[in-house]
Amino acid sequence: MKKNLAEILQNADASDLNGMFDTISAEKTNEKNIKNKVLGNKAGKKKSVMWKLVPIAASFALVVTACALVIPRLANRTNPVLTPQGNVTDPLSIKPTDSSLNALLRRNDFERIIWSDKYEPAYLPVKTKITEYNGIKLTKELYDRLKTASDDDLFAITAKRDIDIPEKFEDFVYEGKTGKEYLDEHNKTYPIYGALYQLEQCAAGNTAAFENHIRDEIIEELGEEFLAKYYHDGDFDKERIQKDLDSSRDASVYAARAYEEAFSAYDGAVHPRLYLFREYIGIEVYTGFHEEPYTFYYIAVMTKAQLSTLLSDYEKAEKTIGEFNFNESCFSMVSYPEDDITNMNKPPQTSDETEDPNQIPDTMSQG
Amino acid sequence: MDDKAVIALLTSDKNKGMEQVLKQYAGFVFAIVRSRLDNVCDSSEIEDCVSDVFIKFSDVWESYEPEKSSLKTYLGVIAKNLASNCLRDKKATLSLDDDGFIEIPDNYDLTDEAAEKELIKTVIGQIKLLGPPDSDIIFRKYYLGQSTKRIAKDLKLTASNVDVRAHRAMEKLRNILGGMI
Repeated sequence: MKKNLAEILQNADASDLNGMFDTISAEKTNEKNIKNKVLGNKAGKKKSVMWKLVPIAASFALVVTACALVIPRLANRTNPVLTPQGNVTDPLSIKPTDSSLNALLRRNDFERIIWSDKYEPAYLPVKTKITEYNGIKLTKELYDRLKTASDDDLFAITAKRDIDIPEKFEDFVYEGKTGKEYLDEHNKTYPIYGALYQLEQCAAGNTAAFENHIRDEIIEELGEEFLAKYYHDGDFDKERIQKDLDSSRDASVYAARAYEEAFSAYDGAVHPRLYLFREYIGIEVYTGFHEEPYTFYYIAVMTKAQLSTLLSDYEKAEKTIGEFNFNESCFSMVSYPEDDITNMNKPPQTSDETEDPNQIPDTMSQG
Repeated sequence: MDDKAVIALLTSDKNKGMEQVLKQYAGFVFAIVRSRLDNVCDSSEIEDCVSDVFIKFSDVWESYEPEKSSLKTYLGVIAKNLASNCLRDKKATLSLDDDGFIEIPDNYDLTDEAAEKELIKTVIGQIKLLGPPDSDIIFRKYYLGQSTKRIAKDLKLTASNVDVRAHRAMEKLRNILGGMI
């Protein structure tokens, strides 16, 4: 029984086809019209509510600005995040009633967050108790939270990274080569492979197609000199065609993959996604982007077990995660005021001071 | 914004989530729908079909499983299916290319859903193994129903190159699948 491939494929579902749409590029369309059709009147209603909120938001912004100016400490410690709604906000100030929460986490996840880092090291309250866990300095508060947290509780930790990102892929450097070099290599190898493919078929007997159009196309695309290597005096050099076809196929596939990899790295940098965090311990990471200077911020939300993994081998994690730095106030107190260094490296002076702070708290070791 | 963040946004605020989905994928969905309906529908009908894709998505997004496919693929499949429905409504049919036939053994029961699914998986697996650009050409030609001209333009190849590659790739597929199915 014969069946057309189109008929076979028509019932394929998304899981079968994953990745197959990746080369389909977006086209320019009238997004506004489509949006109106899809969201209907809801968008219109929303706009009017938004306009009512403008004066309130403006007043709020004035108050916040005034506070920030009066209290420089607050102004200095903010880590701005560009939420999907376009608002620059301080991730550390997020509270469960804040609407920007919706953009960053599922509502349920927020209810589960029992701890988030609140301070830059320089602004830690002087009396903050510091303890040590596997050589990593933690605030006593975090340590205690780790001890009492349930498996479902979440910890929100800010990480940040400052990098320069070129506007265009062509200028982006990945593993020593620019995006343009990857693109050129891709564009160079692709047609050679295609032409050799055609020549191979023509050499096998389909000379009419060669005479009709393929010869002209190859000359137009790659020049007479290229063709002369494989076709001279009316004969095809089959051996050379075959040999070069094999190597050009490899080169073409290699260049295509290298290009995709470089582009994916660029894409990952421009549209921040923390592949590494996810790969390392499966942490959910929510991202923000601040334009001047180009800076990405991340809020890593993790369970007690995940945080425990991170803490138990922090050096390895740091190496793996590379240039991403967790907020120092969580893990190390490098810029902590001199007077308080005496607090460091000491178990917390609390009722449980007899326990060894380098031991994983019981509840953590279960995670 | 990545898929998980989009889903998080849809979960917490569907309207905002849909705005984000539209912002990210309207051009992509338009590209798929247009390439299928270009010679059959006018621009407003194409736009309607694109809107239908997002309306459909807003109804079914909760059944989307991020671990199984990307959001782009999920929307791509909806777009392709709705564009096919539009074609059917217009009573337009895509001509089935003689080159696109695959021999299926007579004992293969395609009325059995599991067998059909397995066949689809095998065929797509082998198409992917063709590697670029041949896998892209076959996918575009036989799944999306794109014209040779269109494929050539998108993949930066000549039209005859696309035809030759498609022919060779189909031969290869037939040979491989002949020994597998």
